[in-house]
Amino acid sequence: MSSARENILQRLRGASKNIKPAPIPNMQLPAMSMADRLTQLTNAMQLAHTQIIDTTESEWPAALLLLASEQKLKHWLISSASASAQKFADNAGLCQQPLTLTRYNKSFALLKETVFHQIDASLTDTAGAIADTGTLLLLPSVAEPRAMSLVPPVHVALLRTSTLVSNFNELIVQQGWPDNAMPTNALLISGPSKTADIQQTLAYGAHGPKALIVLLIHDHKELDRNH
Amino acid sequence: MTPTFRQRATDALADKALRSNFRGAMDFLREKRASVFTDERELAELRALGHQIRANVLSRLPSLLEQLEAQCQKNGIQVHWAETPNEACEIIYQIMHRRNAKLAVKGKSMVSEEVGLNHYLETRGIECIESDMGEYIVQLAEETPSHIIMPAIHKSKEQIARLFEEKIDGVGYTNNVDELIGVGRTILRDKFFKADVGISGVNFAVAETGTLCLVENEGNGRMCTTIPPVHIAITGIEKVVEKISDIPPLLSLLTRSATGQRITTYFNMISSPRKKGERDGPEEVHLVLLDNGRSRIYQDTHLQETLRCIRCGACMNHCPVYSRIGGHAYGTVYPGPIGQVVMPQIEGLEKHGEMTEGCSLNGACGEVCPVEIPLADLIRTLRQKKSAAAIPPDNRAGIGSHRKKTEAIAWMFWKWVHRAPAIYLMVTFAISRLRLLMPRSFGAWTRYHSAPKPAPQTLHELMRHRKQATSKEDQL
Repeated sequence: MSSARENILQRLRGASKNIKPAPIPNMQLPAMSMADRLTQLTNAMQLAHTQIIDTTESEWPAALLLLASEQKLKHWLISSASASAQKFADNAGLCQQPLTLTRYNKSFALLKETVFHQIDASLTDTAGAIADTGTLLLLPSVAEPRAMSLVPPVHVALLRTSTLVSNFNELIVQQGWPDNAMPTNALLISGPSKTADIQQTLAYGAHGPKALIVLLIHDHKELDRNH
Repeated sequence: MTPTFRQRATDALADKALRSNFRGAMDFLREKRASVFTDERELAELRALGHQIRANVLSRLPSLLEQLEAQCQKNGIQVHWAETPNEACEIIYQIMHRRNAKLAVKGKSMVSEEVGLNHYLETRGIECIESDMGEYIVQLAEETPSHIIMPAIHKSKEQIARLFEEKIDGVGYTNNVDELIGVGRTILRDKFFKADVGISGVNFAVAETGTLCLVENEGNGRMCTTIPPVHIAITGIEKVVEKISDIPPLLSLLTRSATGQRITTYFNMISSPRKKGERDGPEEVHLVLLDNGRSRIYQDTHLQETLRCIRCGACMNHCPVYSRIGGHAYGTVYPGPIGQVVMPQIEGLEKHGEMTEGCSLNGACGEVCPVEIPLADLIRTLRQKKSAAAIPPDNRAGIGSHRKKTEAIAWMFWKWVHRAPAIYLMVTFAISRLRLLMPRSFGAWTRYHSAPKPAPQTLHELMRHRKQATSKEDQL
């Protein structure tokens, strides 16, 4: 097939000499204050049916346990190694109902059956969020693989306000892309899975999670609060 | 013989249910788009930016494609090049054959429709299931998508309810959309679970980082690119963008123009297959770069503007013709204004020249286009080409293939009259004096319009009279 490559490139090279690149206009998007970011994030997330639970670093495990018992989420898929997963595991015994925690500590082939058919909910961390569109950034890793935010019917994500940026451009700067290599898979998630493919009627839970719940941990500095 | 565009359009116009389904859908999509573009100045700036980013990509297309290839390979993504649909299908088939794959799940990909992938794989014993809800419905009905973003837009929920009842074992009639989606979810989850290969399209391929970006709401795109052990992405060579920092404006333009969302539920950036130690994701990722006429379109600096397209579908949503005849009337993979520009260039004017006539040149398409493609101008250019007199020796484009002798003679006469003032005066004088001999019927025109009636005096005469009258008044 290398001939296809050469043929295509040759045809393109023949014509591309006639086109000159033009300067790209600079479009500055305003940076938001922390208060505005929080308001915008909340509004955008609510519009997309993302549930937000405001909490703090010390209180989120209790908030999660309350959520688990209220929504009867018994079987959880959690990270094999993250501090958040450990904190959840340490507190799980305090839940009103017995919880089963499955750690994602082996290859997908071995866990596939469980992940697809037995899990009620998953808990993941996030790498940041975009206020403008109410969007979470997830960077799946060895400890927190991709399927965690995709297959379980309920996805609970921990978001720290200190990682919140105004817009997608700022997120790219925050992550240091492209100087920092792009991860295997980077995901922007802006709500539960949905579709409007049947007569423009919105339905949630098309193929991915039916519910996305964000535990919003207010951990930003006071300086930002007064901004 | 397959019906012509004109016949299909006529049939579609007579189909009341179809008309109502499209009317509802178009109104919905237009309102949604308008609701997220409330700031006219921001919209104008953003469109100019999108235009420039895409134009710059085209100006460096060959080197960006090489950069994309090198970066992907560095990341462990295997890159394949295909000049024709058949080559693309064969590349994908060979990958699957090598893995002994029998079941593929596919996320929405118009390029895979363009190359006829499902059929190709089916005849070789591989089942290829569409997993986007709209595409799944269309596949179940043995139809093709009627819209590039919302494939089943031509069907009402009652029609889909009857389809599910008829085609899926154990499903009774329900027109509850949540229940219908639930049925699709259950069936397709089983397919994701079992599939050997996942196939997807690509919205943007970033040259700088070798990243494949996918835009979607349902999660089927993530399923196809995450769960099966092999992921094959197929896209047109024009989908490359230079830098990761080009993505935010393009993504914003795409989702707001397409469905009126500020962002879709998922924006999936894939830069490599499963790395050592990682626990899920495909072991192999392949990227198939399809030409299929794009490098030919690229040769013409005017028609090249076609390749800026980011496939949002706003042009069809705002087209007065598309919204009345629907997507199937065009009889092509890409319908509506962008289809009228792309299809005749890919498959030739001889085959698809007629569809360029289904346009009033109102320009609504170009006005909403997020990358400012002058669609009406391009359609007019293709109309001229299809009726042109000079036919080049290697005429794969089908130039002059729709030239009609009577039309050519009529225009020749028109040109002759309008270039010589004396003849013009003579002819217009004759027409005004012989106006009662004017025929009452002009074929298709007078089916819906009254026949034109020439005035008793020519415009020149009327102006002369007026001039004389005013100069007399001035004298008085």
